[in-house]
Amino acid sequence: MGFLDGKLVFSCIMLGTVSSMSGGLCVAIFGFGSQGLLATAVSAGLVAMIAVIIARMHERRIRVRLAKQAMNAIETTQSNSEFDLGDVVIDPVFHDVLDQIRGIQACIREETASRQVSVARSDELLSVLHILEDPLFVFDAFGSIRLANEAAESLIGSSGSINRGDIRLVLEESDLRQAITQGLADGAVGGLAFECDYTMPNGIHAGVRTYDVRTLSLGEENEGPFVLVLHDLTHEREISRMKSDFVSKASHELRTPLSSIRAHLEMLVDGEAEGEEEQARFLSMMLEDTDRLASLVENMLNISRIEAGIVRPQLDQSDLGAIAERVAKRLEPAAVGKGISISVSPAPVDLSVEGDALMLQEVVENLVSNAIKYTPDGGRITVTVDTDPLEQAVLVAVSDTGLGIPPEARDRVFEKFFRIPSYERMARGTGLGLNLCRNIVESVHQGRIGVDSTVGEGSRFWFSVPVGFAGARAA
Amino acid sequence: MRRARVLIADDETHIVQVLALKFRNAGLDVVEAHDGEEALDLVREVRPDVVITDLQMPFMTGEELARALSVDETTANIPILILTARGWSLDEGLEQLSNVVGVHSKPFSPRELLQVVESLIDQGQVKRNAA
Repeated sequence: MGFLDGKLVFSCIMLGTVSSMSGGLCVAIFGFGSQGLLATAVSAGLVAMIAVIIARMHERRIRVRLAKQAMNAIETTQSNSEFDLGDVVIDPVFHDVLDQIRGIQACIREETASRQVSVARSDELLSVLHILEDPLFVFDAFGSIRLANEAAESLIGSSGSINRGDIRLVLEESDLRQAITQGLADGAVGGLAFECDYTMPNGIHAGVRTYDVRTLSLGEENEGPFVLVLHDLTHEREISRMKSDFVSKASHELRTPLSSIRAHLEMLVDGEAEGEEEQARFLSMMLEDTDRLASLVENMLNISRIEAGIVRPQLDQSDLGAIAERVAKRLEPAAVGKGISISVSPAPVDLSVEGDALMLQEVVENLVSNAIKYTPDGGRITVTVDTDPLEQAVLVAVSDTGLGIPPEARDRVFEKFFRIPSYERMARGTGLGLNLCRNIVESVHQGRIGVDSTVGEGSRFWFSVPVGFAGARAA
Repeated sequence: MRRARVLIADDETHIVQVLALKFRNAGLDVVEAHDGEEALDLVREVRPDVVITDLQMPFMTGEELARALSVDETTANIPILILTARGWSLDEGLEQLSNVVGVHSKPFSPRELLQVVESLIDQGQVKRNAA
């Protein structure tokens, strides 16, 4: 009975019952026990026939059911569902099939799990590749792109949905082709700096870009597929160049007064400055160069502090009108020495701003001092201070009757160590004064600074500072 | 025989003045220039035996001055000493100029510079006498 399922067992019990009932029926029909053998034989044959019919019906059902469940198992294994035979009791003839199905099911389950892990890892890697800022390509052995991350696609002007063949076309037409060809030719050791004048696919001219091209062969003996990564060095190179340029210019400005001091000292030691007058002249020059050196170092430090965002302005109500008058009075002797007149015209209104009074005085001093230095003898300097209602600010302007500034130099006069050649004959400076002014006005006080000028007529340097302190920021 | 003549070109007045005094005390004739253009004009005019020039000057740099003198056969043989406050990061083009015979970094010693100048003047006189 073990090979029959529950329903079959039930059917057989029913058959036995039917059989007994049949016997009883036969006795009832035939009415006497002597005829029991015949009745029993007829009853047994009937029972057997019914049993066979029922058994075949069940067999067929089981086959159909097993086949359906097997199909279902195979179809649903991909979704990792269990192939559950439940309480089906089947014939031994199906055991092998069932074992095979179970084996297949286990393999499929294992394979599916492995594939899911692999897909998950692949998705993770793709996400990592796509967030990389460096463009990354994977080429096959024939140079066709198999993979390009988002940075690579934006570089060559394609999106993820574009046909890879199109990307290859774009790539081949771009200036980057040379970089990539060189990178691939260089093989697994990779690493070369490549410069190209690059225009983005959207038509924006990116200028001369410097890329570090690195390649890696994923195949044997430097054969494809290849990974190629382009690291944009343009900004790093520019920062490096600016630093080098700054160090070079700072070195020049520091060494120059130092050189003068050292030469004069050596002459004094060697006794080559004869007489008290000559010696006094030497000492005076040394003093002047020492002051210049000190001023240079102080300006450099102040600018560095502002640029690093570590300056804490001492906020107060700073009257820019009073500051301008104070500065003019202090610098008047130097102006009078050159026959230059200074006039200050503060507007008769409240000219106070919330800011660092000493820093703002430094700005006015630098502008007035420059005006005195670069205005020819007998010139005129005018300082005006007024409110700027539109911007809720106070505006200070220092106008002179000097040489004026050529248009090409107007944007550069606030750069560190920039000097206008025609001005160098007139006076010496640290080359940092206007840069410090810009830092104080723009970075510390969130104001604006600029210059208007007409060559041959003079210049007007101006700055405006908001009435309320808006907060310092790193330059 | 005329005194040996040195032309000093530097936009730093203090440097020019102190060197001029040093060389005059040593018996040399000194001509002063305060930018590259002025120096070029003066070299053509006074034909110095040695030129000492700063590298960074307005209107014409020391390198441009040396180059201009090197392509003029009447001035190409004048030895040039470069003074620079920019350390040793010299332009390759400057090193290739045959008339540049030395580069001195600021701060320098006027005493040592005088020795180099006197040595160059001696070499020039030997050459002239030999010719």
